[in-house]
Amino acid sequence: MWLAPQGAHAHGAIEGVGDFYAGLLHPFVVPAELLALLAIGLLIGRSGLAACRLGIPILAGAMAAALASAPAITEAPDMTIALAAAALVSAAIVTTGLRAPRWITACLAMVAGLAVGIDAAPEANSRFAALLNGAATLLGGVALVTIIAALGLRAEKHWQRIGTQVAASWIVASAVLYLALQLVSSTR
Amino acid sequence: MTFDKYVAAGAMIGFLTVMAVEPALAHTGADHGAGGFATGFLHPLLGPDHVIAMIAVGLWGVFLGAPAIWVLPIVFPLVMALGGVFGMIEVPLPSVETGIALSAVVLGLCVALAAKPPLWMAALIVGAFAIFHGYAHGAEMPVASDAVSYALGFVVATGLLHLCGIGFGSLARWPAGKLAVRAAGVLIAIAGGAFLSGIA
Repeated sequence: MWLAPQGAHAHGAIEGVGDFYAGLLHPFVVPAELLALLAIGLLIGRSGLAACRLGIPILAGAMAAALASAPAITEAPDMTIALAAAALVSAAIVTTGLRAPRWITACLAMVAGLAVGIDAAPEANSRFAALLNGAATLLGGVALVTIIAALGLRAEKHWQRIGTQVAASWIVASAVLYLALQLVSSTR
Repeated sequence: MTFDKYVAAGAMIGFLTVMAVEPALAHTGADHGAGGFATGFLHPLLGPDHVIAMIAVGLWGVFLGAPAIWVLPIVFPLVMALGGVFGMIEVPLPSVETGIALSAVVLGLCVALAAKPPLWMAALIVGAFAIFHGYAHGAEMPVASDAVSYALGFVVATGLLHLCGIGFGSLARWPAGKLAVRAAGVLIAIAGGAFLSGIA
């Protein structure tokens, strides 16, 4: 399995995959999007059921709004820094083991949703293909967050909570390194 | 192994498989370019001095017991990231390679002697050495590569090396296993000494 995956060309450029699967796989194959969605999923899950009920619809709404507004954006900005920042804050809260207030979870879900939506803006040729691609990205992103949140919500045993915190610490470390690299690159 | 543990193991395998996918090339390669997870993942694995020190952290965590067994693997990547930032912004840090080799010697000896200092002291020792490991990674981090994947790759590899140490260290619940783990500590300290003296 480790050797099998090949280079993925998103936005319909995955040969033989088509617009739907290209959109569906986008949040999984773009590392910054995956990192942000994993972190926000862990945060929402560890914050309890009420946070899930609020956070997941907000994330879905923000993602949908950003994807829908993609045609109006002539030149989409690079959202990698925003995605890494959202991942960093979300994962840092999970690493500390603290339960974030619902408004913080909701705000982070909205930021992550908007950033993923803008980053994954469909570039398909026809309007139908763009719609299909965007809808699939929304489906893939929300499904990923929901699954991770469900796992986080079910992590009741001690070793499960520790595993969640260890995973979150890995995300924090990765995001810190990425953001530092961007800072260094911009100043040189 | 309970069903929940199978689910957790499956989730981890799935996560690593997904992360093994090469980066999407839709964004022109400037932001999701060459390099990526596999390069970052292999970076700590190809440095034997890194490998033995990471495994020693896991082994020592087992000897120290809870909560150190999970505090150290959380502290290490976080402080390592800080060290990585120091490496990127070129904060002067003398004798980085010496510090890495010394980490293997000290951590190996801690395992060999089954040292049990207070948690804060163990975290301080591990954290101090993590700075050196992170500095080396950060200084060598390729600017042109897919930085997110690269960073995640070497953080995950480091974490998995800790888990290897914890896995082997769990043999210490039996007397013969405890001997084997302490012997591993001796070997790590000797290997660290070889790196330190320049023999290896």
